[in-house]
Amino acid sequence: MNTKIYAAKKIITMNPNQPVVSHVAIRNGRILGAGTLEQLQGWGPYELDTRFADKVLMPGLIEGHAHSMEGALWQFTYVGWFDRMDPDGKVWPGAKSIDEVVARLKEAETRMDDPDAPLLGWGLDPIYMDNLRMTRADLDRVSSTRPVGIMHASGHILNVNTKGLELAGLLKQGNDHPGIPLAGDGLPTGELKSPEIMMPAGKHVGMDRAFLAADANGLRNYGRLCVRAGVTTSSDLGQQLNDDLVKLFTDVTNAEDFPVCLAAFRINFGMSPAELVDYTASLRKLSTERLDLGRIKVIADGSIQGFSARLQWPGYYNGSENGLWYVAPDQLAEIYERALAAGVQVHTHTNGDQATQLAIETLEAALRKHPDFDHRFTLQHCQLASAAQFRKMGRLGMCVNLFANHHFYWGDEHYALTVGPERAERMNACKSALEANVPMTIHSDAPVTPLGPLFTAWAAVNRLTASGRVQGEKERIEVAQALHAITLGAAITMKMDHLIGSVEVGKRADFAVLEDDPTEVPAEALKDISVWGTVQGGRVFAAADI
Amino acid sequence: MGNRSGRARLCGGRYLMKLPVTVIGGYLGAGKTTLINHLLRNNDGLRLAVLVNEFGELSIDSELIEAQEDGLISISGGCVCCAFGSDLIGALDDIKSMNPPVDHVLVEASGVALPASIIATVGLVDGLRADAVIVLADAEQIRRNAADPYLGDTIHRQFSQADIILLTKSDLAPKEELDDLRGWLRGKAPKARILPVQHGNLPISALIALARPCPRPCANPGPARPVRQPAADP
Repeated sequence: MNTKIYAAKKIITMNPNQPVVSHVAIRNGRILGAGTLEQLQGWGPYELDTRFADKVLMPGLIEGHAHSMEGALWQFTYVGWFDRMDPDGKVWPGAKSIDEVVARLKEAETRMDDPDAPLLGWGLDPIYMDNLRMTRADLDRVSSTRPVGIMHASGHILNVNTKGLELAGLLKQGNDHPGIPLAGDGLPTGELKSPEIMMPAGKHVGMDRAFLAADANGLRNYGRLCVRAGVTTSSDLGQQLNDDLVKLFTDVTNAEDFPVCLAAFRINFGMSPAELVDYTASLRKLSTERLDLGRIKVIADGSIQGFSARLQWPGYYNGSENGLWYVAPDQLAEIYERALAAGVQVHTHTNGDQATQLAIETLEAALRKHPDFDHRFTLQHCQLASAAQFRKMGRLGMCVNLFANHHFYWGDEHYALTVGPERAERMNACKSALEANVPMTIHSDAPVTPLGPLFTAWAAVNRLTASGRVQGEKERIEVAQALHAITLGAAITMKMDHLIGSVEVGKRADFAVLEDDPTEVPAEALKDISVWGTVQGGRVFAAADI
Repeated sequence: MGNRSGRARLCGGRYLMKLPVTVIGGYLGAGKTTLINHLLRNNDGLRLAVLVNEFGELSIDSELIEAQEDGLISISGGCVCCAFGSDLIGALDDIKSMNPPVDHVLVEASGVALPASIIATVGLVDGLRADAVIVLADAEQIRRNAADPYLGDTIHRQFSQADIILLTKSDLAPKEELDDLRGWLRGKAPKARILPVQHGNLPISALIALARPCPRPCANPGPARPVRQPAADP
């Protein structure tokens, strides 16, 4: 029974009984106690470790909505607008023009040996380039002989070069599909929108099935990104889990040096509601110390910026037709009823307020049949929820995970185009959620936006858009509330708050190790705090060595 | 040998013809599964390939199933069924290259899918042509679904994209009501043929191969079917 006591400059505990302490004792990967050195000495012999004497410790940060695909993407070339850090810690500067994007890919091209191998970039977002559309001619400048593609940041558009179009059989006249814009010559411009079009072309530019599903290397890279972000537990929100994939996750996460606990949710695709609930329930017993299984993710609608989210009256600000259901309302009802009966937790993606309303009403009806006093069904994104919807969610015992990063990345777009000023100001209404007593966390949806709970906390506190406007002043939350959201708040939404989320006796020894104190720096500097690394289950991971 | 001449005939006929694709849509409970099982049982000697979004959504009658492996269900009479998930074009490509070749593809759309977007995708695949969009409407439920605040616009969009609307479970509705319903549907989908049906009981010839196959390879067959814009909400 080895006991180690860490001394730190400051330990923020999220335990209201002793919000700040100086020392924490660890035994067998769990917290033996937090307090002063003197208080902890009572536990018997110990080894004092002072390596964190000038660091600030927090409970390990928890990302409640991300995708491990963020790790896999770094096997391809990043061409996004914003600076972004890769798993090695290298910061790739944002590409600010089509020319810079082309140059970045060209440089990657020179490092390739096989002349026929595909070259794939990711992260392009034309919104920041005055909506300038990239064409196949642009990508032909990278190569005219090998297939080249770029996946947009939204994940809903793929650009390919002429070779890529040719291989996909699309380089011809008469392509008549709303997802294939045509140039003056009648041939595709090279932009391919919507998944059914992207898939067949994508496989020729390197976006094969392996790219879309999890692979071991991608998972390990995701783990490294978690260390750099201070994250010790992350959801992997929506995998088409089957026995093979569960085995892959188990093998990778069991490795001694895997630095994070993954909560992998079973997405509602590819199975009937009955199979979905039965299979997910059967996975629970396969959970390990670093792989938490047994929850369902349902996708109810699309995205707001893609105009595929389901909105209540009066709909989209620019008059676009209402979005699409990704699940039939009766199927949602069946999933909820079966899941409640089986004690399986469901997280539901709802972007538009009509999708949110459907989820609320469907759950209310299901709860009449299968009462559950601690179901914690959670709405994910839930971006447009009104105050009335939050109040109803609070009364029904629901939780929420709001997409705070959206203010920054697409807030201006929402204001001008998608939902208009009034509803843009109430998007991701953290304050309203807390006032309605809805347990709340906030997320990045990585790889849609970069993994980084401190950035996400900054977004919820400041509500700044990319153009620098404060959007929704009244929905700003305090720093303390944001820090709660990215620790204990996230743990509550995943029913893990008895295990993680605070520095308290009995909990897993999970810490984010920071260079600065997030409660002392100005609120607008929250995103700039350096992360030294993490401690996960008592194991120390320095970002510099990972 | 007979076999050889048979093959030559295949090349002259099937090979150069485009493989027709029918999309079957409609909300949950409208009777898509019943219809597809009926067509598989009464396939008039046609090899049918049934593509479903997800296996869980369609239950093929077990006595029709001969084998199941690698995501492909083999069905008596040379028919097959597979799930396409998020890769419809990939699945259509697989079906196209099957040996022996299939005669007709039925794509079962999920309950909230818009059939026109599936037809548009079919139009991108060389060697395929869109045959028709069939939308099923449950005579007992359809008005309620069309008035549902969550579902109504989706149901109306499905109707506006239909070539044929099958009014299913029509035996359960009194004649007067049925006439009334047909009139109402005609208003929603003026160009669609509306057929009342019971237990999916309809000869396959009434539903598929609406368009005449191209007798010889066309130099430029053009788009399989113009993509119609969904009608505006009422």
